[in-house]
Amino acid sequence: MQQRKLPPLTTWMLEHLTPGERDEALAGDLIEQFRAGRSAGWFRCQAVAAIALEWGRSLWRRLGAIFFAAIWSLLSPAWELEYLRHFRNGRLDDVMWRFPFPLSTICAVALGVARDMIFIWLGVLVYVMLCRISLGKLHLRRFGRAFLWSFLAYAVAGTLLIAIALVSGPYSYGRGVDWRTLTMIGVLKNITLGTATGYIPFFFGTAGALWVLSSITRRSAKVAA
Amino acid sequence: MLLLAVIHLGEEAYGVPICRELESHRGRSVSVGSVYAALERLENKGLIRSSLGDPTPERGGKAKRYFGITKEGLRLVRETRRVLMRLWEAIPELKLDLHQEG
Repeated sequence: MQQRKLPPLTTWMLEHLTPGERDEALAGDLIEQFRAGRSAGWFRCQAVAAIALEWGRSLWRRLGAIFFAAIWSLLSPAWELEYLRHFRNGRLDDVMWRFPFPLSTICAVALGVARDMIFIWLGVLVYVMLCRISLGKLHLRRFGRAFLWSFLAYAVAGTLLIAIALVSGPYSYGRGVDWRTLTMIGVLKNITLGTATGYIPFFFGTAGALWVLSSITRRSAKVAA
Repeated sequence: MLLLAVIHLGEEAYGVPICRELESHRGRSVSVGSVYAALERLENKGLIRSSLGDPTPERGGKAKRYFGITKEGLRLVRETRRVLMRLWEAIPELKLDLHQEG
């Protein structure tokens, strides 16, 4: 008997859009029921509901990590201000901008990314230490993957932010506010929608790393079917 | 309900028969995702255990996850049954009291 063809888009969604900690059993059950005579509409509805439910549950499990990422990203302006105060117009900055274009721009971007990644990973280390104290579960062997996800999340969010800034204009701390005189509390007091968007890459970068480090895997023995 | 379905199906308790069992008793469709979410909660509580079977071609090469009741799960089912029986037994007395009041 010829097997019914699975809806390709839904099958792809089931395989690629689930958070990754659920094993293949759920997808297999849906395929088995579809081949046993369930409609394509039923298959689509069940797949979308399963994906949404899994993401909801994954988010719920990592609520602590996401909350921490949000709080940590709020501190990012202080890090940026400290960096600008100490290194802007400093020796490193001076040497970098003497390079010919595009090397100077590449160096400036790389330095900015490195500065931001250091801040993000300081946050990750603080979270790891907090989890160690509270006996939370973390997968510390996944640091490599966590770094990759954190960088990707930061890069995507940062690129989007630059694109938004190109359309709507650069953000500032408001008219008459000199960033050089701002303190951490001053930054929070002068928060605007524009400056708040600056936290987004830091949030996604930190949350991306913590998502991987706190992901849950199911361990179970295989039995003969 | 899920615990009872797992007990009833025995060795064949995996996603598809569990969903069918629930659908036949409830008389309406169930979401496979929510059944798995509930099974995972029960597993985390130690009421059921699970193990992966071998992948089969009719399932697109995906393995089945078999569920089985644990001792703790069985104890809870018996306890729940006992409590429910006691509650049901108390209902006629309740009805009687209401008739007397009326």
